[in-house]
Amino acid sequence: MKKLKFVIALLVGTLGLTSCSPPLWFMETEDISDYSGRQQLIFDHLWQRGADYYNEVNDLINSFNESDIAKELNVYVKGNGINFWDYWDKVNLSISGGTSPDIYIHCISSVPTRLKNLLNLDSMYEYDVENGIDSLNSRDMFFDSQISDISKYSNNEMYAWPFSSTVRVVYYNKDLFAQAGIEKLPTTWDEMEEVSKKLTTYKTPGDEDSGYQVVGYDPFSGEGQYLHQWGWLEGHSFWSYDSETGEPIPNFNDDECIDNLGKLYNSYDRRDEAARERLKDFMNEFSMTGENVFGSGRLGMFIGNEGLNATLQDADVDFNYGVFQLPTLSSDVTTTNWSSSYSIELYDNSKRGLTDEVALQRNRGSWEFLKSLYSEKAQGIFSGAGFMLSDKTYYDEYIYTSEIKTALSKAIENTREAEYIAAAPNWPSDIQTYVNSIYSYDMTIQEAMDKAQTLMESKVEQYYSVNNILGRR
Amino acid sequence: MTEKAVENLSQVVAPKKKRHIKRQTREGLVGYLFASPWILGFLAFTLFPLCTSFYYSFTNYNLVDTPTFVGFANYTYLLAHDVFFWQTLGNTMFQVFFGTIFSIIMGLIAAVILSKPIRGIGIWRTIFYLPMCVSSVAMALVWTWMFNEDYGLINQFFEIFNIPGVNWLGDEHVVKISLILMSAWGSGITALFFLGAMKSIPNYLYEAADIAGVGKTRQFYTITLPLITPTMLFMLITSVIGNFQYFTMAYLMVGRGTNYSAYYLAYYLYDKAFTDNQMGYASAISWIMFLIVIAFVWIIFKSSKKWVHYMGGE
Repeated sequence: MKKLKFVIALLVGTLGLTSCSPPLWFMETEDISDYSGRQQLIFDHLWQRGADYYNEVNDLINSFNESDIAKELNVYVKGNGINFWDYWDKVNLSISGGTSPDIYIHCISSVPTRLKNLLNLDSMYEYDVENGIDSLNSRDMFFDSQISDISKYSNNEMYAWPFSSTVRVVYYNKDLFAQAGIEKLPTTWDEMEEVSKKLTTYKTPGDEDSGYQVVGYDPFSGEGQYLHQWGWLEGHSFWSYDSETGEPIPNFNDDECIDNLGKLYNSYDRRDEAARERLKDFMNEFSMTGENVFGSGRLGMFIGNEGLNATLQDADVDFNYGVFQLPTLSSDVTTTNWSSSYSIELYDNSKRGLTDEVALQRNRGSWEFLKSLYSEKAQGIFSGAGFMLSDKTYYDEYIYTSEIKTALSKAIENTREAEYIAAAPNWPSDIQTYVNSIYSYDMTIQEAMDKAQTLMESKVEQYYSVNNILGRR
Repeated sequence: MTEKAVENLSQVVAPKKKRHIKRQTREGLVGYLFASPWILGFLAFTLFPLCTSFYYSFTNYNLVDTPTFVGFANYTYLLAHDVFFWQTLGNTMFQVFFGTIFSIIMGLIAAVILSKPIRGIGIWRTIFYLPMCVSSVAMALVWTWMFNEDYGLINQFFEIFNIPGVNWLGDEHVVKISLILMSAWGSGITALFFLGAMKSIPNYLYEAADIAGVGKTRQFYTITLPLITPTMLFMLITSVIGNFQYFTMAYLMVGRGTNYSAYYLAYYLYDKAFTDNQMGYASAISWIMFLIVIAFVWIIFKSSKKWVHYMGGE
């Protein structure tokens, strides 16, 4: 009996252990045994062991480690794949704890918070040029919009490179458009509403009370829920700066902002209360099940980023879809698209208290590895992993072959990241609760924006009350 | 006794004496060795962060630059100017006051039910305790569904009686109450503590009360309730501390709540530290919170002399 119990326990234990993790013995791992004596560089990335593309990223690392330049510089890279949800805390804590990885992926919008410890990539490029080393010039590789987003806080110098480009576009259901006989894609908010009305149908044709079968468009679903991008579309800036002190001044409730948002809001707010309830019921059907509303094939238009394309492809949806640029209030306004992209950053090893020689060796190693991540092979891997590439060099191979990605790439030209405000680094999401109150009709635009203004003013005041003591502005 | 014998004896005795001292030391070392995981954990993860957070509370620290000493600036602004601090403190006090009372009452009711000699009591006790085994994330997801305004179980139940549905999580005036109601889900542990206390009350007290003709309700108020007050004191203190730290469920279910209505002090602290990168200010909030908790616990302890009854004295 004891033996039987032991065997059962052993079986259960073995099964439990194997189900907890991927079969590690099948995984390709880095062989770092041959690199003793070389300087180790840590690369924190988002592909943990067992994840899709882990092996491919590992191959990239191994290829670099076997390269002549790695041998010449006497360095090797050790990859450190971390689960997406843990990644940001781990990287942030290691940076703040003084044990930063040498190379890591982060967010462009928060580059200024880490600026002091980052390696100046322009100076690395200049070093290459001066010494006749093959190099990559960021100005030739990336869109001006992304270069500006990174370099505007550091005298136009690049302390990070864009790794990906996340932008917002309108996805539309081509089949529903064809059924409704719509041929021209909308470019203004008014046209969006017209198209939306044509697309909308009811469960019982003609009977509104039966609920929506197809909804043309809900401007505030998906990525449309973020208010600042609607403001930006019409050229509004939510922040200005005091000319003397340089302190940021929030502009959330000025007339221009309220007016523009009102126009957007009212252009879709012509439905009566019953229609609003129908829309809410329609959206709730999906929020309860977690099904993507656009993927259901019952929504005509939906704002999303490149991630939605991957989701739709994974779901193998049975309808045709395409994308177009976000509409503006009037046709003569240039679209400004909200970008929230990833960066790649190199920690400046001279901050680690190493000798100048070792610091330079490590920095050069990191820089060479960074360049290897922008090779054709690496860019192909990242594109396959679902990232919208920021490096234009291989767009012919990986972007222009897809209609969706081509349209996304056009949006990058006019992107901008949310301004970095030290007093409120996360200001777009800080105000979201008030924005939601507009959508749920609990507050008027004016009331919500007044509250957003008060919140931001208090954050700025609190931040500078301490920083001004230190004489920092 | 010959010299040889003395020598032999000393050889025998001396090591014995030495061994005796060694054993004491060894036992002490073994004791410390067993306790060392906790001691090391306490030093590294409690005492050290406690001391550093106290230092940080007097600094401007953005997690990247070196902390810079700013004196009492964080505390001054926090107490004198920070509207959000007082708003989140107000929300937290609501949670502490009503959340504590509610969890103790629910735990007490459950304990009274579970103390009855009903059929399958073991199963019932297990069922009451089972929610404690569920992870808070799973619990949050389930309750988010149950509280859904249109399709949630609770509003669907109301609909049977034609009672209009409530926007449990979206209405800024209701959300805090919803979160407190939800905490009943986890009252199993409180019930178990009370049950243990009730079971330790000697039976002869109830027998004497029965003989004296005292009714069951009066027995509860005059025997059971007073004699479980030591447990109630313990539950009160742990519940007050727990509710001051209330964060996870609000974070998972409603974020900061409509119009920051479910923005608790612990959430504000988290935001300041990890969203706004102001670790110095966040540390000041944590120390103010700590002092408030200490004050509450002190008041509860002081008042306990008047309402806590220990069987056979303290």
